[in-house]
Amino acid sequence: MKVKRKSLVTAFALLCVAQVGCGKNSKPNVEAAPSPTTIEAKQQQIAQLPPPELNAVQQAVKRVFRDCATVDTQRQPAFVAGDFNGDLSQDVAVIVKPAPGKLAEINEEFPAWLLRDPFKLSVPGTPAIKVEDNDVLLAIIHGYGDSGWHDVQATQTFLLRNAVGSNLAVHAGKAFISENSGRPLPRIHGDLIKQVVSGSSGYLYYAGPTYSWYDPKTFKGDAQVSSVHGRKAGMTR
Amino acid sequence: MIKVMKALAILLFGLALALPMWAPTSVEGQGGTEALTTDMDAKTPNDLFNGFGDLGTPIDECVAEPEPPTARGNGRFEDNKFIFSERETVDDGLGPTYNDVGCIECHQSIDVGAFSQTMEFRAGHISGGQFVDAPGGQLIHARGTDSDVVEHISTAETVKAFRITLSTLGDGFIECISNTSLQNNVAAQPSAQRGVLTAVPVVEANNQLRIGRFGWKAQHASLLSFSGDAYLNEMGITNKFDGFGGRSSSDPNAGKNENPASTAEGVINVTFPSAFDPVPDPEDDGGDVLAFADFMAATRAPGRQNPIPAAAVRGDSLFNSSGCAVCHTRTFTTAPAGTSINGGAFAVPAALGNKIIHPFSDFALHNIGTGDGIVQNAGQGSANQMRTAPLWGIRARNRLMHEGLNITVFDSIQLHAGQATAARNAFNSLSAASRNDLIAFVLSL
Repeated sequence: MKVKRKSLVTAFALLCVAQVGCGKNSKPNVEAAPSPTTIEAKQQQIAQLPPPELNAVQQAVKRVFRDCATVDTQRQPAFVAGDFNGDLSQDVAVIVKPAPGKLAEINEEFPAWLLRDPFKLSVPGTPAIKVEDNDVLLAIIHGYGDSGWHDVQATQTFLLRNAVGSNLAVHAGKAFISENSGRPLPRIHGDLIKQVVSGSSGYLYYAGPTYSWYDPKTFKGDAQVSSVHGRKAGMTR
Repeated sequence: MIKVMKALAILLFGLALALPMWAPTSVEGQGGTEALTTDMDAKTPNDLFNGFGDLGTPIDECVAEPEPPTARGNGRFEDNKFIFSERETVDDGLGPTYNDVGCIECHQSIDVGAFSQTMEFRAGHISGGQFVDAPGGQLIHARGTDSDVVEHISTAETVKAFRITLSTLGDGFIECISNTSLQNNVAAQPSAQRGVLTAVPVVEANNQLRIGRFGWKAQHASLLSFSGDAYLNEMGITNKFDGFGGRSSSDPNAGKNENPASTAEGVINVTFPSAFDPVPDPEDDGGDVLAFADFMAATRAPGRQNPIPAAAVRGDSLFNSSGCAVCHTRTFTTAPAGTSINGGAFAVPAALGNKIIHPFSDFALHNIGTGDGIVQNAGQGSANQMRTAPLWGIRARNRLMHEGLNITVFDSIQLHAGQATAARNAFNSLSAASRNDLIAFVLSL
């Protein structure tokens, strides 16, 4: 009887193995269909934060630049807040100076910020932008989440050369677009930083890989875009 | 006792017979072997074909014209490659609005099917908080067959975006990743970084839904749908797979419409016969589109730099520890050969089945702060989301991110925000030497 039982169990096991093996080959696999997806737009609003204060701005600057740069408190105003990149998180634009003796660090090859000149194109072959001793720079620290530029994660920073003028102010992006309806405009992501730079009144705006300068009197199209593509942006009828 | 044994035997036999019904029939890759790769050197002969279909011989038009497939997989790679490389003319149906004259014009470097610096331009505006296409469609063609039909947008179109062309090398393997594999991968991502997979219609399968994976918005799930769309939208050649108006290829009106042209005088709905459209629709009978799809499906995956530099070896683990690999998923295994995909319109061929690939993408949409504001087929919430760019083969291009306006990997990393903030900050917290190593790793892909 023991032998019979053993044979029965062995036969069952073999049958199971054969069935599983054969079953997979004979039954064609059919990919499971997904459910329909629609990503709904969230009606998000930017969290209202109190006006920026020097202490908090200095902390944010220290978080990004450690001791390489300091807030230029001689300037008034030295900083403004707004949602410059249009991600519904408040950013801060702050005028900074390289700290004494820290030029090498601020010009390191892989810094934790993006060094840009809004008046120059970043295209292959052009010399790298370098910060010089007496430069006054505009640092735009992008916010993260509801806490905006106060958040400890808020470190994405554009450090702009040749971008500090006078009368630093913020112009709301939506209002700017409606006020300038019918005029050739760059692609506006968020709020603009209004200034007078080298005697010209204009606006710094977020242009994706950089911040660019918009002078209503001279603007013809996004220079960054037209430099790498035959078609000019900002064209009008 | 014998009766009991007999009854038990019958019961066990029945159980064994029924067992396969409960056995999993997942389309997950099982084990798998590494996919064939190209060395990313155009000078290496016979380095693109992955074994899907017949190879054939290089086409010499003086001897014989190329023959397009009549169904997926029944053509020859060299014929398909030739058709992919052809320049279309007005007589072929080119235009009236278009971006370029052939697939290879945008997919050429380092080899047929790969990248180029060409960008397409999309535009629209915001109305009531919603993205709305520019009149005549969001894709604004750069070229036309008649100056009267060249597209212009008005200043009312405030959302403007450029997108650089993507490589199609290895796309056959991507097509053969099962929905389930993509879904499982995304489900395993931390919630703050989790991507969104989109379900998009497969034009050749009566618009059945499948997880999107091709294009900057993951707007296509099959290579045939993608090819048909590109033939119309990039070259202006109507075909039954073009998806115009949301039509499937089985719709009697499929392939009968040119793209409307948004001109300075307003939108022109171009119809045949007219001065702008001298070729009856569909301008392609589907053969070219099949050739494009099968050419891409038969290309090898981009291979790693060889030899891999020491810095890249050091940077390999940093890519994971910094969190880059959360979205830039290193590895997928394609579905087993024979698996029915694309809504039943395609069966995974042996050359593409159960293959291990390293695309460095999850093919999901994420908001990393670089969104272009354009909505395609994933809903208004996708306006500022982009598909994770596959990094395989990235060393062969120097214009990065969707607009192609970043020229260094370093800048591209710094531009990662939103869902990628933690990864960017982790990168920035590395020593300068380690950051260099991580960049070297990316440039070895």
